[in-house]
Amino acid sequence: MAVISYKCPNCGGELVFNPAGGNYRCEYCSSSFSQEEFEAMEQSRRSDDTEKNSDATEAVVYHCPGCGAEIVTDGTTAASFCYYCHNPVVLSGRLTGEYRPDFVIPFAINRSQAEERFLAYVRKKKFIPRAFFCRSQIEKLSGVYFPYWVYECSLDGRMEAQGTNIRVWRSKDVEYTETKYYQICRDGRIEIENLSKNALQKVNQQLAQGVLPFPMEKKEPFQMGYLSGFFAEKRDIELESLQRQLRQEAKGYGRQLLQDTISGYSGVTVSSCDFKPVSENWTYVLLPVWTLTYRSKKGKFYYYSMNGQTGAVYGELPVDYKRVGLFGIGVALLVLLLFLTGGYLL
Amino acid sequence: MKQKARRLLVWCFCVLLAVGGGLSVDASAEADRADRSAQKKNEQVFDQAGLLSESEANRLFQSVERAERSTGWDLMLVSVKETNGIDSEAYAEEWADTHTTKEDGVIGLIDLENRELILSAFGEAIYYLTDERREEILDRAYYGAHTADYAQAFEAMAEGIEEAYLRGIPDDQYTYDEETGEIVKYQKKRQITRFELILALAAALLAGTAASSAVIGRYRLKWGGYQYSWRENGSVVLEHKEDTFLNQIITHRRIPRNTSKSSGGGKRSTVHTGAGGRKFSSSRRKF
Repeated sequence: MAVISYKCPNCGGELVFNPAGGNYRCEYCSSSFSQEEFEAMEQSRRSDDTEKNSDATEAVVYHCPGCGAEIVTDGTTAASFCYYCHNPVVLSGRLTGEYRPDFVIPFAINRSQAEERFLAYVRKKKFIPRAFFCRSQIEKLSGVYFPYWVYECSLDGRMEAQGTNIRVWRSKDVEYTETKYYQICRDGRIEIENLSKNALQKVNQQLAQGVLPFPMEKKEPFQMGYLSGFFAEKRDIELESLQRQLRQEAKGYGRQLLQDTISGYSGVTVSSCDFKPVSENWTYVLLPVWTLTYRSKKGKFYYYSMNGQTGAVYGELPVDYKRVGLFGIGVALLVLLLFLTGGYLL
Repeated sequence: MKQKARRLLVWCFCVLLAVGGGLSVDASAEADRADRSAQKKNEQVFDQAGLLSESEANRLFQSVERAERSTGWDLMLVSVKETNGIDSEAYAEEWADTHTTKEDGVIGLIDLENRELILSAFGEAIYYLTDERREEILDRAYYGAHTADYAQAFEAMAEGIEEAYLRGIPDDQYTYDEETGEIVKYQKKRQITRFELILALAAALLAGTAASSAVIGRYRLKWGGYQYSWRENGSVVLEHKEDTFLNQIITHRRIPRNTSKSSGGGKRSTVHTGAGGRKFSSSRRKF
């Protein structure tokens, strides 16, 4: 399996993807290269590359092309760093063939921005211990491309329902209630897009789903170069294990979309709702996530994930129970005051 | 010897007399105590005319007790054979002045001399027992009085008073002073009832707990998080849309009429100042 380290044509230093500029930057001579220039270099590298990699089996030990040291990874790591010379390395074999992603959404937030955004996020939280706001407590911050399955489908749906309209009026001392019954039928083509599911078992599922959604319009055809300077994981959850769940979910959303087209009734009771799949499309996408490990002053670790495009943070926060208690008492007092005032005045 | 025996006989007689007298004194004291106890027990019902049997008095006493607990007022039901020329209404008001220390109450009187029923409210009861409501109560009591079923007449009064209290003070209630012509609109007493206090405490506790739980739950990722937005990511193009009218059903119900009349009498309590200086709102009915 090939281990790639993208070299700067000017100085031979390591090239890493720069999320802020959307280009590639050499960390040694500060040269930068556009996506087109990088693709031209990549083409040239491929033509020079004589190694024909047909090995589909997973290896766990690689040699760093920079210093020759051994790089040990687990079965799903597709991009990492050399532990000794810290050069970014991409294990290209992990993301080829059936494991080659269809698309990638590149990072738009760099490390320092991620740190700032995280600290801004925790500072905004009113009920966490004061000691939590500390840059030095950030133990580990890594940019990781996580694998996701994105499901899109077209469905032909048919919904039958009964609608009722109720009108009430009075004439002298008699109250009349008129109930009209309608048979409702809706046939239509439903399109469901960007239904995303995490495709990596080892990642915390809650954190992986919590950073969704990603702006799918920013997806790019997959290029190995985007991974340089970041960690990347290949999928280990296959399509077959998610298909049933996502198809079911899509039908549920389809039902809600069809029901949304029924309006003007006091009440609607759906009697039947059927869907026929017309087409479906599964794409395998790498999405950018900053994972952050934070150690509280008491030594407890907290894990967060941050959307590498939007900066949205997701993760469990420590609770300052004293503050929350005071907040609860404040709310209770306010409600008590409102009720007593209402009782007194009315 | 005979003389000695006669002295012993006299002495024994005296002793017997003394013991007997003592016993009779004790018995009358006992009877007095029982009477006072009975009088105390029935202090809301003063049957001076002797119109009620003991069982009727007891039953009436329970009704009055219940009405007093419910209203918090002092209720007095009085019967009188002779008023010695005093007007029935004045008699009832004087009775109230001399037999209660409470600010709020009602007195119902059956005057056999004048064959008249009197219902006089004072204090807070004036607001509840408007002219019209007092007339309603007298309407109900009249039949009993007319047929000499005085227990029923008193019972109707006790029930009517409690009912008026439960109906509350009518909207826009006002008092009309027949002596001065002054009209005073009732100002609802601003206060927090025990029920309102309990309700407010329960709501406050619930709101405080809910607010704290919401924060903790959100921080602990118990809820919140990503939800797929089907409106944003989904679309539907309708190929067929049909809404067919099937049938219609019309039902009707008669709206129960509001039995409380909204005339002036329904809201008005006519008051005057009694001989004791207390304001009364009274109604009378001949039977």
